Amino acid sequence: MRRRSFLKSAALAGAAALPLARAGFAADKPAEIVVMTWGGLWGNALKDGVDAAIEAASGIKVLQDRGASPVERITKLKINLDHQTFDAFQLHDGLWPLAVKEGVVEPIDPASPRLGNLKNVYPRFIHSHWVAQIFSAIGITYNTKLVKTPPAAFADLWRPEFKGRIVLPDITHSIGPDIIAIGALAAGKDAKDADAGFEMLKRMVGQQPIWVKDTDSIMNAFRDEEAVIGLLYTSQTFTVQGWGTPVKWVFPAEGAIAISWGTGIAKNTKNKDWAEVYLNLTLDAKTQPFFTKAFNYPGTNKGSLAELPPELQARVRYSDDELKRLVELDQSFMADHRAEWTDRWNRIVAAG
Amino acid sequence: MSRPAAILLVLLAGSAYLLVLGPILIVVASAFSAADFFGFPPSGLSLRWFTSFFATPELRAAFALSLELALVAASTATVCGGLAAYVLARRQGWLASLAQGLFLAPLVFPTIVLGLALLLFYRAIGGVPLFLGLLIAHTVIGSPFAVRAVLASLQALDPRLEEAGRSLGAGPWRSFRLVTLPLIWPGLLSGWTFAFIVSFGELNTALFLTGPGTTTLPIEIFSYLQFQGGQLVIAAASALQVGLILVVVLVVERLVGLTRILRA
Amino acid sequence: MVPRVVARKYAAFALLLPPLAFFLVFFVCPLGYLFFVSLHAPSESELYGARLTLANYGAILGDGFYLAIIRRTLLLAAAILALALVLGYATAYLIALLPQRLRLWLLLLLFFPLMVSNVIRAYGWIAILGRRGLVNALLGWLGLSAAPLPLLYGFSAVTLGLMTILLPYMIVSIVNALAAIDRQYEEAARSLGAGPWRTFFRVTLPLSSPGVASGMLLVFLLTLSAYVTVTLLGGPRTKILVSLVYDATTSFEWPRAAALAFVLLVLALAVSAPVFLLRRPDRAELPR
Repeated sequence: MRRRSFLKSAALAGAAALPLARAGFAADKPAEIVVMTWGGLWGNALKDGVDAAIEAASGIKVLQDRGASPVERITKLKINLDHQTFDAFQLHDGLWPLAVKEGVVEPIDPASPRLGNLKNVYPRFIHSHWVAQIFSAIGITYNTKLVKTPPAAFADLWRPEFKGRIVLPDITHSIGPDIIAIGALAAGKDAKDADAGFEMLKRMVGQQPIWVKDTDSIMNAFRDEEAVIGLLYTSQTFTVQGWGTPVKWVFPAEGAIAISWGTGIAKNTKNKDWAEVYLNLTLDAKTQPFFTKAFNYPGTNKGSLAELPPELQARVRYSDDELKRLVELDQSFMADHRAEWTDRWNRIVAAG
Repeated sequence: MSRPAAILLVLLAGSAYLLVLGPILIVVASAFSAADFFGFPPSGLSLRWFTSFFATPELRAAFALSLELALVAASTATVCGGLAAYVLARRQGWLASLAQGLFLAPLVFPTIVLGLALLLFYRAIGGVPLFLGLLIAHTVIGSPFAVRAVLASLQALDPRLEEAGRSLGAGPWRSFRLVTLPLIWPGLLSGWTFAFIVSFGELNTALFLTGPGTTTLPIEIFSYLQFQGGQLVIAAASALQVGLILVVVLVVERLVGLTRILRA
Repeated sequence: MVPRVVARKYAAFALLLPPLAFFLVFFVCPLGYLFFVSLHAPSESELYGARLTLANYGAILGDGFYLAIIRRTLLLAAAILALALVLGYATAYLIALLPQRLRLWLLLLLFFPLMVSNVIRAYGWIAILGRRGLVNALLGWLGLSAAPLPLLYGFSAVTLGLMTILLPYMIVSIVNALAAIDRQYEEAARSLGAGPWRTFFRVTLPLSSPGVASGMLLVFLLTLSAYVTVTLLGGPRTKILVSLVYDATTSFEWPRAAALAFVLLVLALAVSAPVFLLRRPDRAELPR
């Protein structure tokens, strides 16, 4: 990942330079901009793909703040509102409504000359205050060696034979609240039918699943064979396969849950124009492949697929049918109910 | 001591050491593993995780910052807690007990809320430089350990010793320095060590109080463990931490002779 | 004589002033602000709402669920204390018998693991207790178990994980107390005809009680705030009060999190206060 060739950086600089040349800038160029994001391989991919490009094109260094978990990002931004030290930040779709409500995001100006890539992004990924960079789908991952009858629907998670071998995200996980919607779908109801979802949750408790706090723990549970079935994104399932565990991802009959991650501009940032340039670069067809190669996430730019080698393309693309059947949860609705659902979930699962 | 009693003691003590050291041995052993993850049995030997650690500037910088912060914070915590313990040790009554409760309270308060409280407070007073902010937080968190350790030392100390020194003509400071200080030295050192350890490993206030460019090692580890950052380079970092302490202790022992200082 | 005593009292107060002031400014004030936050309703767009209310506390203290969690917290702490006391005292007793130098190294050996972050130690336990971990590998190799046992994600795993972190504190507290006991007391008791067990229970144990009390207090307080170990090695069924504090922060309910933190603090003080008040500041006055 670190050994990217100079040529690649040059290509990226070219990608950045064009919009830079055309854009007008209101303020002086800062020495650096600060972006809040995740660490590990993600932060490195961002560094090699996007940060390198903006630095090569404009000389501005990007300082990544990887230290805070997503909710803390919002809190820090909030506390710094009158003296904002951050310029851009990244979250997953479930938390953006909260960030918007808390007033820590600048609205996206679709007409901005610095956001040229917007026209190439699938419209479903462009929101009022943020734009998604990559996406995936939550479905069922299972161990092909240890599971006799492959699952085909979310409802199959409730099969008695999986007792004690299911891994699921805890309510505090970023996709934790999704289990309620998934439960409702599995019961044949609407995703917003919380009561149906909680009824299914009660039944799931009897299955004695392993509840974990983060995605890496889900993946580790598969690798260590603590679990033979669970909820996971398509992309991370490929990663687990790469570790040598025989797992497969299934698009559930009820529809896989769409999930996306993206970037927004910090409210009252001092470098709004450059934050827009940064945002634009995350949407570039040339930078998104960094993430596809690292995580098997398809990019939200229509042209990013073509930049990939054919085997990778075949692996990460969703068929048109699948794209149609993707379930888009009402993230605003879920964000509004997060606190209430956390409490209800704890009462059902943690009371023991 | 009777045979069966001795055997029982050894078994219990052995179990205690196994519980305390077991996970660490696994971690240190895994640092030398050729595999990608913790796993048993390890599939081969390799030093690549150590090279990976040293090749990562963020980890090195975070290591250095954590070390510096811990050294300073432990010292300030020991001074703060030690002073408080010295004054409160001999006193009884509800006021003294309340004061003791105050100095011990940070032990139990969830540090994540403390971190938020301090962050809000720093903003309210106009902003505090990042390192100083962290130092303050870690001093607060480390003081209880110093208070406890020095209190324990002082309680074991016969107050008449200091009085004797006083009656022989030594002023209060001299009496403290020549009589009390040498005797509570083990308590001070023990408190300092705990405060150092706590600061070095502290994560939750750091989550709020670090910022771009200033990250501590636990924060760096935390961020590394997000998104498949690689568990074993962290194992290497941990092995190095343990190795560092070992080296420090050996050096101090050579130079100063810990055993002589710690004459109980 | 009297001015001297008064001067000493003022001197003592003057010494206490710096740490007290520091704590008042940087601990009590932020905490006060946090308490203020806990008295507000939650808000969707601010850290806390505008309305002052006691509802957060009412919701916690009047609710069977939270009371069950508090009960679970105290039960876990009690179990940890009992285990730590037995293992810790035995180890401390053995260490205290040894010569100075060996004692030092054995104590230092206990400190090394504390240098490593709690998260990493938890991973160590996962490597030991997991289905493909050390214990299961041993059981399988010895033929004692047909299939891997699920040892993780329950109270036993949490207890083991907490022992790793808390035993050193208990052991060190007791060793210091034991080492300070003059051998003459035990010898005197023995020469008066008391057997080894009687000597232990009537002389050694009481004389080491300050160290034991101190160690138990520390272990108790640390158990109450042991979020990482409880979360990584346990599951929702092992969630204790501090877990709910963190849960409240992830759903951005800062007033609720603050209220829970203060309930935790009060719980801790309620249990610790008797220990403070019953403690005798002076050493046991036994005739020399």
